[in-house]
Amino acid sequence: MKENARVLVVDDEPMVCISLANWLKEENYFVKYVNDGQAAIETMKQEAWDIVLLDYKMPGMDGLDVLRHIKEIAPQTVVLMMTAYASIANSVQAMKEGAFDYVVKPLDVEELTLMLNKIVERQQLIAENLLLRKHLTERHKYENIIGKSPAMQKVFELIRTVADTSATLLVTGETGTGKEMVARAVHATSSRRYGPFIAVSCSALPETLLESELFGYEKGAFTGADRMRKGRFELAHGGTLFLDEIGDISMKTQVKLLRVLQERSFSRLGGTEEIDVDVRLITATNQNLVRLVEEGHFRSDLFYRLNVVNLHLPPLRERKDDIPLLAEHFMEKFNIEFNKKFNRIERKALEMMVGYYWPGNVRELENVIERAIVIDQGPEIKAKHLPFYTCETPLTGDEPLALEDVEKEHIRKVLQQNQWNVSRAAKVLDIDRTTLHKKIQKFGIGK
Amino acid sequence: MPPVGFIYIVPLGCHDMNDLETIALGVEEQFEIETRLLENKGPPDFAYDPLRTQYNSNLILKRLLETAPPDALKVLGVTDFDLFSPIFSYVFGEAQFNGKCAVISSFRLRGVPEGGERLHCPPLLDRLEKEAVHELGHTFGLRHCSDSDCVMSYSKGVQCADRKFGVFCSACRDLLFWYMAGNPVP
Ligand SMILES: Nc1ncnc2c1ncn2[C@@H]1O[C@H](COP(=O)(O)OP(=O)(O)OP(=O)(O)O)[C@@H](O)[C@H]1O
Ligand SMILES: [Zn+2]
Ligand SMILES: [Zn+2]
Repeated sequence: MKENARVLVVDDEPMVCISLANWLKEENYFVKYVNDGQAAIETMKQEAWDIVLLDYKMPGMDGLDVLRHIKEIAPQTVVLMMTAYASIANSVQAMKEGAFDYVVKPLDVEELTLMLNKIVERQQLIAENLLLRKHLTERHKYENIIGKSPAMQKVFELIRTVADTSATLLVTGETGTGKEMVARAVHATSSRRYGPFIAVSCSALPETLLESELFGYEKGAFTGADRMRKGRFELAHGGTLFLDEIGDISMKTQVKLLRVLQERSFSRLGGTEEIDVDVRLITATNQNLVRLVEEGHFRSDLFYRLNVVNLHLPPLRERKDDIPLLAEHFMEKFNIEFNKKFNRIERKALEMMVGYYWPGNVRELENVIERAIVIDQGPEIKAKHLPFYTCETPLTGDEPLALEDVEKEHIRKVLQQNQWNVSRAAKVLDIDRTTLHKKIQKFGIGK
Repeated sequence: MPPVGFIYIVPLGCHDMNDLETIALGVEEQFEIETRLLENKGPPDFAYDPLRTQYNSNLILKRLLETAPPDALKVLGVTDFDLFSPIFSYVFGEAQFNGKCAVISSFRLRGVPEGGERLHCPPLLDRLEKEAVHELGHTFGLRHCSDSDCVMSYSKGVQCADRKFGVFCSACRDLLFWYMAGNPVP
């Protein structure tokens, strides 16, 4: 870990620089030294440094001035002041100006070692969190959709290409994978973004209600229709209509929908007037539409009209790269919502999340993080906060398990039976110790 | 391509030349390079700092480099006097990282070992030999090792030094011979 810590030594005495740099190199740091304040500032501007060892008393620009510049250029860089006894008072001033600490010359090797270790550890913690946040750059985000996995990057690319066309989209993916989000993102980045975005869940309503919801009705079209009502198609005019759970609509509604798509016009229930609409249609389903077509439950002509462009969202377990990023994102979100100060996720918790099956996909992850934040004060989301903590691998026998999952579970059991004595467990499993160690690491099996 | 040359051990005012012979053997064994012991050069008065009443290890390294035999691959100075490196209050030794010379001192290695005063003499020779291998390791480009048994681990104080072994861990050993074979030190 120290290999990566970069230390800049600033001292006007070349001998001091050489001997410090030499020692720091032995201690696994990456080191560079400069002999005056101006050079230090230049170097700070050109490269990133984790730690600066800064001499207090230098001719020309003195340490305090340099410190102020450094804090401006790179506020996250830790500055350690080096001072002679006489100027300890000044060093106190330096700490007020943002120096991390000071050391008195000549330095005590042990003291310096301890101090640097402390700084590196602290930086490490900050970096881990910053890193996550930094990952959320443009590349890993499209509108509010988060994903760095190749699969999601492909989705973003596709959205970018089709957003500003009027092509009809079919978004597929298991429940909770973010299909509605994608539909909203497409709308938000298309030229229709100033028009309405109307969403309808087709499974939520019985057939007749769905039809009147979609197409509207004239006064007197049926009992209770005491006035004319516009349907969602009309309301979405100039914008985007999102039909979720499209696999659930009846054959009769399918016919009507097909007609709208073909003629770009329709009439309200109980009416004769043809209404023209300019609507971009996006539909979504978590069912296998191709199968429904084959089984005769879904019209193939409608399917082809809806499936002009297919955007498939893979289940979360198939894009594990996104899990830490999403977890962090939801942590921030619920921090704000519940006024908490969570700032990191325990490694074990992250490992468990990455290993989990996520039948409810991103929505389930969102709920899990929300729960963790509600039940604790933080600042760390821990494994014990996760609802699937007790049953590390849910072996209920319901879900079909991958071979790897079975292997992992078996290894875990044998390890437990042998009180985590790896050698003994390896003997039982009839593999050698190194192989077992590798597997424990690979599967992230923990006590 | 194995390195050419010898490791020279230069006594700089050492009391016990027998100790140095033992150290030379240990060094030879660890680095697998023929190690030669030169005659005692006397105290390093040229490096004495009257203000600090200590000896400047930087100046000693400089002198060792200037007076190195032509066939020297590495030069290790050994002294009984208290060393300081300009920025540090004292050092057990100092090496030119990935360079030619190193110097070690027995002065601070005489501390009481763990377990207290019951032991009459601290295992000075053992400590000195570890320090010799450690600093020479640095001249070959080895950095501090996180394996606390390894001779390249950084020891806080003499007690800590007593706990580590005088040999390289397998990783450091591999690295050592990798660098010796002419591969660049990062
Ligand atoms: N990639 C993502 N980045 C951020 N949040 C996401 C992402 N994917 C899903 N979500 C969140 O997960 C929840 C479920 O997303 P959404 O409603 O879009 O899923 P869906 O696939 O339409 O689900 P369903 O099929 O059950 O209707 C939402 O709260 C959404 O904000
Ligand atoms: Zn060292
Ligand atoms: Zn080692």
